[in-house]
This record gives sequence, structure tokens and C-alpha cells, in this order.
Amino acid sequence: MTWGGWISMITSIGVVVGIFGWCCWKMATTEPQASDQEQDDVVA
Amino acid sequence: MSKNHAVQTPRAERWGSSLGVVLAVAGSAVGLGNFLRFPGQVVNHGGGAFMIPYVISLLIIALPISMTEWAMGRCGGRLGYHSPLGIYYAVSHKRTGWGICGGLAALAPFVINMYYIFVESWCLLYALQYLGGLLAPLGLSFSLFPHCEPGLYFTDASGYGEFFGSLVGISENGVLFRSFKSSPLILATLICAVANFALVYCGIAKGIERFCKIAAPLIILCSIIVIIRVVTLKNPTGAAGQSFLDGLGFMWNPTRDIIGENGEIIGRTNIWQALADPETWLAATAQIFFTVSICLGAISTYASYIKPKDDIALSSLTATSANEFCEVVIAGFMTIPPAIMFLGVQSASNLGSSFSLGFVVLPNVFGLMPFGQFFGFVFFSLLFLAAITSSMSLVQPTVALFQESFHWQRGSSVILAAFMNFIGSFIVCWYTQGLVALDVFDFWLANFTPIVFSIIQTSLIVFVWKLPALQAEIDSGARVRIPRLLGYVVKYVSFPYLVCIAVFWGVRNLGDRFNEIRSNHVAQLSLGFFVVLIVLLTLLSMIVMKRWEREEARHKAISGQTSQDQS
Repeated sequence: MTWGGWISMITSIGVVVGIFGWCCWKMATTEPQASDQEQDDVVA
Repeated sequence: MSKNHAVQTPRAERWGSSLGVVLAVAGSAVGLGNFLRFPGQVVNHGGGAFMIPYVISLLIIALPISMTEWAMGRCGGRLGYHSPLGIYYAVSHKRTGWGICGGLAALAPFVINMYYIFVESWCLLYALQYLGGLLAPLGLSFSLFPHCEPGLYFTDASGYGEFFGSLVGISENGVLFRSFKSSPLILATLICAVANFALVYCGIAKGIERFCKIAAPLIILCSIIVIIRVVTLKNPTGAAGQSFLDGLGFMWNPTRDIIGENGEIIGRTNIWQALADPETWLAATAQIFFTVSICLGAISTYASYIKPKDDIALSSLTATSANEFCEVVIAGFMTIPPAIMFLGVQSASNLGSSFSLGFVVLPNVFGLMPFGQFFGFVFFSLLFLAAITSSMSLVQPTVALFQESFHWQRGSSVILAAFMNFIGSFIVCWYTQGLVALDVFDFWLANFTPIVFSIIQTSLIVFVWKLPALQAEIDSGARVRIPRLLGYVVKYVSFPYLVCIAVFWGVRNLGDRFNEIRSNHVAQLSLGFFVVLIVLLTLLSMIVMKRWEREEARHKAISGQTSQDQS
């Protein structure tokens, strides 16, 4: 494994893990906006 | 845009939770390509250098286009449309031409599923064969193949290739049906098909979502088990260049040796040479495109079942990044490094082919690995789960199309989809010599069609639906703020880039494929089958939209009359 290999692997994994980790953190810490009450379609 | 009053559906189906739809879309995207195609593409196109265009494509293609597809889907769902036909029709302000495009957009997922379940059945059989060997200490060992001992182990490495070839009937057309008793592959394919359609039959929340909530953690668990095994392996042969770090380096080093067909080193490339090669950019963009499963209709159909005020911004980012996590982090560790460790660089010539890597090279690796039968079982169970979560997402757009077109309940639509699926699967399962039918199906429906529809879909979004409507849809219910820049990136960066890639890809690939059609009767038969489906879908789309227009006009007339009476 060369220095270039370490840099490319760590950078690639870092970008992906960074985005995914941020998304998971946001999913866990943000509340969904309240959904309006809606009337579902009903079979005629 | 007015709601679709022409579609008579039962109580509107919805996902049970935000997590459910994220897992379902991620499950749709995470498939065999993540674990078998990505590593080979990296190795064959510059190693670490490949990741530069890969990450760029992730940022300007995968993330933005995926989010627009979620937005399209939820917009269509809000108006009562769940099929690609209905979603295109709704988003285009009910223009017939775009509706026909949407109807044709349902072709790709439908046909892909016909051969995907065939490959899925390979994973199932491999997993079960390994399980048969694992149960030996309990006296419960079994083999699915009369000519094989329980488990999957051959003293001669060529045995793995011969096993795979005989399993899939690669030597002769129709052989799988003639040797039904000696090969359970047809039965396994039927089981996979039944499982797919049964899950879709159970519905969005009770079938697809519930299964994905079980399958996704299992996929992660299986991945962790295999990765821990791979990372803790010592150099098994003691030979130079076959340690775990050497295996990682083979995949990630941007400066790399070029390996000839016989495993000898014939040259050396560096990062700049790889980046200057258009093939590297084409391969990276194509990999991103196919791995995220955009423009296949699956994402927009799934998104159409989201509640109108639920988030799509964060959900789309999470699903796409989850797919990338499985591809870059998990697959990056679990396939190439052990192949190099156990088989050396001589195996490199087989790593570019997904099927060869997954069904020949890796079983060879598991045969040499301590406790390899257990890890083989875990690995192929992972592949099977990844495959089935993808394949059932390909069924849902077709089922939704039949529900909307014929006003049928889910059950009837599933039965019709299954029947039509059977016809296409039969073609793939019969014409197995050289896996030509599978290859033809895969090229035209999983490669050509999504690339064409990426142009069509993005055109629809930026030029017809337009950026303000797109932004408003994304902002509605969003748990994270997506800047206005996204729309401009899609219109002025993603779209031109897609056009360039499509042209390059077409120039690179279509010539040989047209020659194949001229000379190969299986390719001609397959293409004829696609043409029949295209004609049927076009006619269906036109008839359905005419009916929607009539019923919409009737509803307006009734509403107008009611307003007059009240006033």
C-alpha cells in the first residue's frame, strides 16, 4: 500500500462516511415536520 | 395540478415511517453491483485514481439527481399517481407525450427483474450449498447437487469455474430444463420469483418496508462478520505481495502495475495517466449511475408513497449515502483484498467480471480460508439479501402501473406482473449458453435504457416541471435545508454532464451491440421481446391517459354542476 493508496482510500471513505454519518445524525436529531391531517382516498 | 380522480385506489398506501422508506430505497440501490461490480471497476480503471471521478460523479450526479427523483415521485404520489406513467404525466402537467415516456420508463425495472431473479437464485443456491456443509458436525449435511459433496470446496481451483458453468447452464441452451433433477436452479429461480411477488403483494408497509427493516440490519451484520475475518487474516501463503495491505493496495493504489492476461506485469500507470483516460471517467460515472439506481423508476415509485408533508431532502441523502457506504466502505474491503491474499495478482484478470469475481474467485478464496465454509455462507446470504431488496423494488413500478391502468387491486396487478415476468425469465433461463440472453437483457435494459431516461427525466424536471416547482417540492417537509443551488447544479452541471457521458458511452458501446443483434439470434429474439413490450406499453399509456382525461373532465363537469346548484 503506497502513500497514494492510503490517501485515496482514506479520502474516499472519509467523504462517504462523512456524508452518511451526517445524514444519520440529522435523522436522529431532527424532528419531522408535523403532517397535515389528510383524507385518504377510499374505494368508491 | 389537480388530484387524479380517475384512479380508484383503496385507502392510499403509505410508508409506515421515514426510516422505512429510507431502508427500502437504500435496499433498492444496494445490490450485487455494490459488492461485485464496484471492486472490479476500481481495479481495472486506475485504482485510487478512479475514486476522483467517482466522488465527483457522486456529488454532481448521484446526490442531486436522486433527490430530484424523490421529489418527482412524491409530487406524483400527492396527486394520486404511483407508477412511472402517472408520475411523468403529473409532473409534466398532464402532457400525453411525457406520459408515454413515463409508460416506457416502466419497461426497464420490469425487464431487469426478469433476469435479476435468475442471478438472485445463484446467490441463494450458493448460500444453501455452503449451509449444507456447515451442518455436517450436526449430522444434517446436505448437498443441492448430486455430483457435489456438502459445502463448496474443490481441491482444484478450476473446479469452481466448472461448478459455476454447469450451475448456470453456460454450455448449452435449454440445459437447465433438461437436467432439472440434477440442478435445482430453475426451482430456486421460481422460489425467488414467488418471494419477490409475495413481498410486493403484501403491500408497501406490510411487505416491502417490513422486509427491508429485517434485511438491512442483516446485510450490515453479514458485512461486519466478513470484514472482520478479512481484516484479521494473516498472509495465508507467506508469499510476497499477498498480505492484507497488499490486497488493499491492489485496489486503492493510484500508481499501479498493469497485469496481463497470464498474471504477468506488462506496464505501469500513474494517477495522471488514469485521469487523462476518458474510459476512467466513463467507468466511474457509469458505476455511480447504476449503483444508485437512478432513472429506473424504482426511486420515484417508492417516493410516491411518502406522505405529502414528510421529508424527502434528508431521506434521499441518507438513502444514497447508505448505498455508497455499502459500496465504498464495505465492498472495498471484503472482495479484492482476500482475492489477492489467497490467489495473488494472477487472479487479477478475473476481477473485472462481476460474475467471475462473485461466483468463481471468491468461492475459491473461501475454499482456502480457515472456516471458509461459514464465511462463504455469510457472504452469499448477504448477496442474496442485497439482491432481493433490489429485485422487489423493480416489481413495484409495474404493479403500480397495472393498478392505475386497469383500476385493479394490488393482488390482480401482482398476478399479471408475475405472469409477464415468467415469460421474460423463461427466455433468460432457456438461452443460457454463454449467458447471452442475460447479457443482452442487462445491456439494453440496465445500461442503455437508464442512460437514455436520465436525459429524458432530467429534461422533464428542469425544462417542463421547472426549478421553482422542484425546489418547492424538496422544501416541503424538509428536515434539512437544501440550497437553491441544487436546481442550478442539476440544470447546468448534471444535465450537460449526463449528455456528455451518454454520448461517450453510446460511441463506446453501441457499435458492437448492433453488430451482435445482426449476428446473434438470441439477441434478435430478446430485442424482439423488448419491442413487443415497448409497443404494448405505448398503447397502454395512450389508452390510460385518454381515460384519465375523460374522467377528469367528467369530474370537473360534476364539480361545476354541484357549485352551480349550491349557488
